[in-house]
Amino acid sequence: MDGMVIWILSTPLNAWMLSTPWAWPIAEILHFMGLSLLLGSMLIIDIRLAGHWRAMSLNTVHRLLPWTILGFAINLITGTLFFFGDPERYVANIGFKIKMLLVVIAGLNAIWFKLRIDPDMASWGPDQDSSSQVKVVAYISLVCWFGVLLFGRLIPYIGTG
Amino acid sequence: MIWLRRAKPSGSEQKAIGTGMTARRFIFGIALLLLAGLAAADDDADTRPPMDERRVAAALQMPEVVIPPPEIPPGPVEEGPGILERLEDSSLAIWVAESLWGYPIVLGLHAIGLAIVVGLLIFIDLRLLNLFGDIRLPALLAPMKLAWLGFLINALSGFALFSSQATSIIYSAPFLIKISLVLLGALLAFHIQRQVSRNPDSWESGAQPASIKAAAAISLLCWMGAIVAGRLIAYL
Repeated sequence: MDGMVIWILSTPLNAWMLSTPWAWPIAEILHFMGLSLLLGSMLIIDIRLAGHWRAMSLNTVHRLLPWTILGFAINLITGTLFFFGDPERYVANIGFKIKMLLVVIAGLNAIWFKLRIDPDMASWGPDQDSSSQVKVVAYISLVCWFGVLLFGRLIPYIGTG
Repeated sequence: MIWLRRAKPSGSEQKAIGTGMTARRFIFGIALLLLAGLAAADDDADTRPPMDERRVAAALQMPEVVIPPPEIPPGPVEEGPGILERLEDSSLAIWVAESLWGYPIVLGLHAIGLAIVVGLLIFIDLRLLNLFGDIRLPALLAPMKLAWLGFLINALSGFALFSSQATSIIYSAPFLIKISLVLLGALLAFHIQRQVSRNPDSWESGAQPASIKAAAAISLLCWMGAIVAGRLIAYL
């Protein structure tokens, strides 16, 4: 961890984040927009996969997924900027560690969805209820992403090392 | 390790919001206290027994105290505690500002509400702009209801955050812009919801009128603008 922090502190990206006056707030604004795309699309997808909102066809799930990925990409990039800008703060922060753990769980859950559930979806009726396995995946996703949001917002306030 | 840092005013979150205002008031308050003190001293001088000579001599040698003319602050400040002052002294505001968990809890709720209301309205608006043609319009009404729950969470948590710094944040331009954009966004959401529920099937296959598309586009701009302005409250 220390080696990584020392390396990051020597990178031009670290210097750029610290010396560019508006870099931090602009990255924050993009991070908030990215989270809106990510959480908003995830919310619709997971609620539909959990068997609610069946007036919405299942195909909606596939139409929205690229937007989820767009939101995630925006936040991965801006999040990396924050991390490079102030690595000492993040590696010591418990809120950040919990957030990253939840991102990993959400990612594994998404891989499970992609490998085990998505291939079957073509055979589902458009307004079909979901199996309990699909519902579990949907609720894990919702809990994880809202946890990511909550612990991310609390980084400045909890477990600051 | 400090498990929980002292809640409210931390680093970038709480940049110098309205310090100019606070400083002016502070100086004004000091000046008033000085005036009041001098007035009281003069009154007392008539009734007090004469001081001994050395102290009188010392007092006479003291340089005259120059009192700066009190600056008149803008707005009604000297009419007793106004509504914002009273709000800032309310138990809600004090809980948010001073308790260990108050500020983080309310801020966390505000982020969750933001993701719900803005996240859902982005996709409702994009659907009205024909981006996801295979979602039927009446199907938007359920997410719309949930979006209002997000709006409610943020109205309440936003009010709690506002109460904790009411007297200073009311002078913050980004805050005022954000509130205006949020109110406009809410009006547009209400309008869109009503129009969609009145025309459940007639607008299928992209036949919705241009006015509803314009409302959706403006709504998107409002919410993105509210995010920008909201974030800038901490910086400007």
